[in-house]
Amino acid sequence: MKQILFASLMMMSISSVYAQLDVTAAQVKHLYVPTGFDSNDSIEVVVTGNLPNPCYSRNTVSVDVKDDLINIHVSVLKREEKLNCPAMQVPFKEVVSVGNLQGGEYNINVNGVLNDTLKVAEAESGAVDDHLYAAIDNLEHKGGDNYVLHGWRYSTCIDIDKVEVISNGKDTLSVLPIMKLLSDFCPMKLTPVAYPVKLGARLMKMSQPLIHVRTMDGKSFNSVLDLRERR
Amino acid sequence: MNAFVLIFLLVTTGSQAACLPDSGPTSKKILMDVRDIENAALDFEASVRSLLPSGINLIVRLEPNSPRTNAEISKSGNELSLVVWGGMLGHPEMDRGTFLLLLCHELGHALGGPPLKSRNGWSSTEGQADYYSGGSCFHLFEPNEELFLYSALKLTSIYAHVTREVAPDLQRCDEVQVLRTNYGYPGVQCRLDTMIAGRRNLPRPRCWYFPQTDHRINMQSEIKEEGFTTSDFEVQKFSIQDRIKKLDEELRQSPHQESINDGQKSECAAHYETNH
Ligand SMILES: [Zn+2]
Repeated sequence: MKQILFASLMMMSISSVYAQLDVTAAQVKHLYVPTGFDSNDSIEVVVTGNLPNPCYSRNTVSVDVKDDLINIHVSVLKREEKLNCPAMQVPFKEVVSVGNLQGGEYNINVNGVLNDTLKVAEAESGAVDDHLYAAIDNLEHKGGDNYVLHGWRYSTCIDIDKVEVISNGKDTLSVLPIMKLLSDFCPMKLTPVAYPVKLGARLMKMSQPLIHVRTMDGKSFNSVLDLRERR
Repeated sequence: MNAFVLIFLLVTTGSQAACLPDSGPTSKKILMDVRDIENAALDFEASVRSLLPSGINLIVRLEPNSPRTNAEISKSGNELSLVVWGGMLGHPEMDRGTFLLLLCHELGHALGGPPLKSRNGWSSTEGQADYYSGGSCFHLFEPNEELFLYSALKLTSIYAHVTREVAPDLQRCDEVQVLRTNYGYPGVQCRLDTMIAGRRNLPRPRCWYFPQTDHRINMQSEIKEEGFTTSDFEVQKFSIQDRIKKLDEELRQSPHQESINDGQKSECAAHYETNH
C-alpha cells in the first residue's frame, strides 16, 4: 500500500514538473544576415526578440538546411508559474550557427515569421586555410564613428594586419580583423589587445544595427547597437 | 586542338638552390633544389596533359619570393592558372612527391567533379580535390603505395603547420561523421584519410562527405558551365553521366547511410594497413 502511495505521489510530481515546462516558439523581432561569407566559413546569423516576461527563458535553437532553404526555429521555455512574473519584456539575442554551406543563394526563415536571403560566395581554391582573424570578445564605443575592438593575442608570432568593414547595405556591418603571421615560432603568451576601428554605423538604415566581428575561432562576436537616442 | 600547358618558372634562374630575400620574417631558403622543382613541374606538365579537356590550357606559376605557405588555382575562360608561393616551396617538408601531390590537389579543384564549392561554380571542394589528388592524378607520378603515403603525410603535415593543428598520423583516422558535406577545409587528419581513400578507390571519408548530398544539382551546373567549347561540353557531359551512374551505385552500396550516428568506429584506420 505504501509503495502504491509512493508511486502515485511520484507520478503526480512528474506530471506537475511537465506541466511547468512549457516550450513555445519565441517572439522573434529581427533577423540579421551578415555579408561576406564564403564556402569555407562557418556561417552565423543573429536573431533578436523579446521574452514576454522574466518567467520565460531562452531554450533551444534548431537549424534545418534543405536545398536552398534554411529553416531556423527559436524556442523559449516558460518556467515556474508560481514565481512573481512582472509584466516586462526581456530582449534576447541568439547567435545562430548555420554551419558550413555550399556557395549559392539561400532563403532563411525564422519561426515562420522572419525572412531574408543569404549569399555564400565560392571560396578561393587555396591548398590550405591560411586566413587568421583576431580573437575579439568585446566592442567599445568611443563616440561618433570611433570604436575599439577588445580581445586577446595568444602569441607574439601574430599581429593585426588590417581591419576590413563590409556593410550588408541595411542592418549589419561585418568587421574582419585580419591577422598576419610574424614568425613560425609561436610561444603561448596571452596579452590583452585593443584595435581602434571606424564604423559608419550611424549611416545604416536601421537604428539598431548589428556589428558582426569575425573571430579567430572561426565564429564571431556580435553586438547590437542602440543608436536611437543618439540620432 | 590539343591542350597545352605552360609552365612559368619564376624561380631564380640558375641551377643552385635559390635563396629567398631575408625581408619577410617567414621567408626561408628553398630547401628543395630548383632543378627538382623545375623537373617536377615539367613532369606534371607532360603527365596531366592527358587529363585536361581539349582546349583547356594550364599555366603553372612559381612565386618563391612570396612568404605565403599556400598554392591556388584560378580559372579564366579556357585557362587554368596554378600558383605555388614561396612559403610552400621552401617548407622543410617539401620534396618532389609532396610538390606533385600539391599540384594534383590544385588540379583536382578543376577536374575533381562534385561536390563543388558553389552550386553554380567550377571548383571542387577541398575534400573532393584531395580525393582526386590521391587517386586519378598522383597515380600518374607515383605507382608505389609507400611513397604515396609518405608524400600524403608530408603534405598534410605542412597543412597542419599552417593551421596549427595536431600533425596527422598514418596510424590514426578522423572519427568525425558529418551530417552535411563540408564545403570548406576538413581537418588535416581527415584530409590525409581522404587522399588515401582516393588512392585506394574507397568511398570518400565521412569526416567531410555526406553521401546524400544531391550531386545532380552540381552536375547540371557543371554541364551549363561556360568557358568550355561545345565539343568539350559533350566530353564533359559524357563523363558527368558516367559519374552520375557511379554515384548512384555508391549511394546504393554505401553502408554509411544506415550507420549515421550509430556510434560505429570509422573504417579508415584499416585503410592504412600496407602490405609489407
Ligand atoms: Zn584547395
